[in-house]
Amino acid sequence: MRANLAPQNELRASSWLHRHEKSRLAILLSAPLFWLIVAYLGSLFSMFISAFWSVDSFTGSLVKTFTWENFQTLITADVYRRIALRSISVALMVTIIDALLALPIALFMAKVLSPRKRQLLVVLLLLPLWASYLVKAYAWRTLFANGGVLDWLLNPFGLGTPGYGLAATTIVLCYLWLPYMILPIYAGLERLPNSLLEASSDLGAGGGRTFRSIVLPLVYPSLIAGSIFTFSLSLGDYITVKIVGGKTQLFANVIYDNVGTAGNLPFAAAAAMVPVITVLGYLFLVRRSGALENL
Amino acid sequence: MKRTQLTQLSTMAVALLLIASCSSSSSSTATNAASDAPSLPNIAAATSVGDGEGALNIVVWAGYAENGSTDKAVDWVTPFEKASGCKVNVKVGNTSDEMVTLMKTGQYDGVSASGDATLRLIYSGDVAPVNTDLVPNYTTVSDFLKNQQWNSAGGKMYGIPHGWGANVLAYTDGKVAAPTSWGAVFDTNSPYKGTVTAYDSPIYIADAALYLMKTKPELKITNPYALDDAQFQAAVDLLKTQKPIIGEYWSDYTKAVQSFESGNTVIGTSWQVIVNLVNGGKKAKVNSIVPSEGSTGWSDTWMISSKAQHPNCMYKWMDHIISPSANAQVAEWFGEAPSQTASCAMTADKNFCTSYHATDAAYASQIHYWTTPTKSCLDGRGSICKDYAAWTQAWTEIKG
Amino acid sequence: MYFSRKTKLFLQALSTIVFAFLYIPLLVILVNSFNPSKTFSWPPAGFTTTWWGKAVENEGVRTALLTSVKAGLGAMLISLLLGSMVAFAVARYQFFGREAISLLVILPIALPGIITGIALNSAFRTTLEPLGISFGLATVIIGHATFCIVVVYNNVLARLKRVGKSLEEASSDLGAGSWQTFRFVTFPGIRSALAAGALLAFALSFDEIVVTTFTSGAGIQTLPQWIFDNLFRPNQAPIINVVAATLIALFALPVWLSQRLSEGAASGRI
Repeated sequence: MRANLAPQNELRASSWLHRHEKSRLAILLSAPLFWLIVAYLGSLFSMFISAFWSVDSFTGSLVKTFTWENFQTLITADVYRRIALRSISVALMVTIIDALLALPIALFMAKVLSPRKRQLLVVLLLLPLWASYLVKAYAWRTLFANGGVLDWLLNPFGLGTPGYGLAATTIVLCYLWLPYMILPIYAGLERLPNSLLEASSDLGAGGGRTFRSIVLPLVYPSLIAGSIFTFSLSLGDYITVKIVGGKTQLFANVIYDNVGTAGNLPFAAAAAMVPVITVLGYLFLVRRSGALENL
Repeated sequence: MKRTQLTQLSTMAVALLLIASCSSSSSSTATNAASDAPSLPNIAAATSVGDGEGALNIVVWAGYAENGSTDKAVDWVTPFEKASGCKVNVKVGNTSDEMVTLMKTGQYDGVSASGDATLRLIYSGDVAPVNTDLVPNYTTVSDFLKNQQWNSAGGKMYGIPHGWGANVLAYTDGKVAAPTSWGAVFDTNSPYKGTVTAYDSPIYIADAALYLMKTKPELKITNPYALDDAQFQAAVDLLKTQKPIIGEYWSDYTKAVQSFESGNTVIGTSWQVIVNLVNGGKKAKVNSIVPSEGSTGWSDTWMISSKAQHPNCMYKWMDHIISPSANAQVAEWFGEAPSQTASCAMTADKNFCTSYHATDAAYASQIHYWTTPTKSCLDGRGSICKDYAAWTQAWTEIKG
Repeated sequence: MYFSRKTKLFLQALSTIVFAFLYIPLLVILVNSFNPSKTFSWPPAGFTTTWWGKAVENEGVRTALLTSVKAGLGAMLISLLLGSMVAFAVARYQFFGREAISLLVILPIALPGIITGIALNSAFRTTLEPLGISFGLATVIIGHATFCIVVVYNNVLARLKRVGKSLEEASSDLGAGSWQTFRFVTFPGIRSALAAGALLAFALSFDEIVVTTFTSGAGIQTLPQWIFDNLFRPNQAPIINVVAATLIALFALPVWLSQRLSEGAASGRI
């Protein structure tokens, strides 16, 4: 069948485009880069500029004179260091726990299940992501309440709910980000050739040995990819703490309280540098592991 | 080539944004950071109220603008909407700080501001003076609420008084032995450790100062909002010793209600509306008292934004909310003294005004209303007091 | 097979535990939507469908749902366009900064939402407000589109890499114009990747609360915002459970569909 040839004008435009590769590229890149660089990076940059400003303590208006005050306060006041360390530890704990929980289930899904069951399970895995972050956190609030589900489950064993606090926050964060950890690992495991596993068992390795020597090294980039999500999402979370955290504060709460309640944008911007630098540092470190392609 | 083009483009773009952010003017009509007496912005009050614009965006304290969604029978917003044609969008502010920040965005037409927000809003030019002649119900508002230090400046009224009340000490009946003093929430050996609550705002430092005012007279605190270094440190230390017994710091009133109902909180500072809601839900019985040391409290004023997009609707709302019937309803629902004297005849509980001392000017002057702390001590000692920025920072340290 | 029976059983047991962990809170939500108690005391004292009725009547929920859908569609369309454009550029061309682009695209989603939110908020304040554009649905869509670009980008890029240039080259060799090539050769190849990316973008936007808080205006309320405002309100909280349960049920189909789409292409069926 002879396909319809394109009309003359279109052909002319196409050939022009074809010859001018750079124009094609420019057209493709202009809009997205404008959006990302000018709008997004630009706004990030102007926010960080405001970290060097201050607010009038009475009227709350922005005072645009350069000052190191905000950073001085951040570094010298003990409390911010404490909160930052607390938040980073929580983020690390959540990442480690989620990795430990995700590996067996991802392995199970990728290598043990039949393809049809696999698809079903992936769908089942994705469904909780649709349940609304807020509602899930709130469901945990009722779980942790005095007289709530956890009390009801654990009381026969003489235990009780840990109540609202850092432990509850960590558990809920683990829960919320678990699918984000499972999915990249699952995708990575799927790509793992079964022949390697076969060869390993042919050579006499048990499940554990195969896991340690074959699976783990190859799934490492996906693990890192998943960890980017859990680490960054935990570091930036302020809502879960408000719901199940009781009286604890995490670093994101410091940022939120200063920009929202206290109306002190410069200080919030200065504080915001801490998670940004942490996450950027983390991203830079893991760039080489090839994790960024696996997101 | 492409490389330099891209770099050029990005540098230009970032530079553009920098220039834009540096040259834009925020509400800097009254920046005078160094001086203690900021200058009053020159904003004109409205001269007439025309037809409603069809919508109204207001920032309110919880319970001040009920439209039937909390309780079907509690609604003074819908009658207003029907009469004025202004559809009301309500944004609940949990603390005065939140309200100030929200008003600064310029997206809201008005706010029910407490004394620790009013002056900040006035001096930053975020609110306009109110032409009280345009609010007919203002004439019968209690006189001791007019032209006060917290709602007027430069001889002009900046708002319409809404009502006033005290922060109460709430405790669960049956779980807590009836307390008589604020000492019950500051007792480090409290039997209720882990179930005590406190208000999550730097202004709560004043409650600690109030307690010290009565229990440590050697500190010579005369005004819980005017604290010099030593007095401030004592209050902060008291709150740091309180932290271990605290279960939750509350700012969301519905979270506070839930906490009392589930037993996660059994004693602490609270509002009468929270107590009323808990008792109405019948899951727990909560009592409230004003302890022997007295109490901090609030005297709220409706203020109109200087950037209000619906000023007519706002004036109509202000007139409506202090009308005898509406003011009676909101006062009873929230549990505070109404500003409208004519409301006392319209409350469902005939003894309401008496029990809340609504028309008692002497009683009203005893409550330590929320006020913004400034460097210049409010009791006249000079500029040795801690300003609100110091309070805010201390609060973060206290919560750890 | 590759694992001993013991290992398989072990993995199965662990997976069951993890799945239970994932689903128990969701079941609690579902049960609580029928719980007559407003404070969800456990175990539920009875069974009632009043909350479901109230949820349908609730005007706030319906408006919020509509707003969220509008915002999601807007964000989805913009990110589809921008994400594919960048994906094409990265997959088919060599240029300075190509590696940096991946990092740049990921940044909005890698950085904590509160930072993106604050930055966009102050940027809108300084640039849009002087122009008279106030915070509203448009600013929300801009915020959402920014972090949705990456999901479309990843999907389309992965597909483009897999499909390769040869078909496109053959098409133009045979005399097709750029648009024809795109329409008849390239697009069918990336169709399912676009769909998968679009669905994910919509999902991300639909559930987003943090950036939304900072980019929305006085009259706008997305569904997550509505949920957040009513989370602790005694009369509204039960409705939230109903909303959540409905959302899960409602989106089961699109989620399964998007899975089929990306998997289908993976096995060669486009």
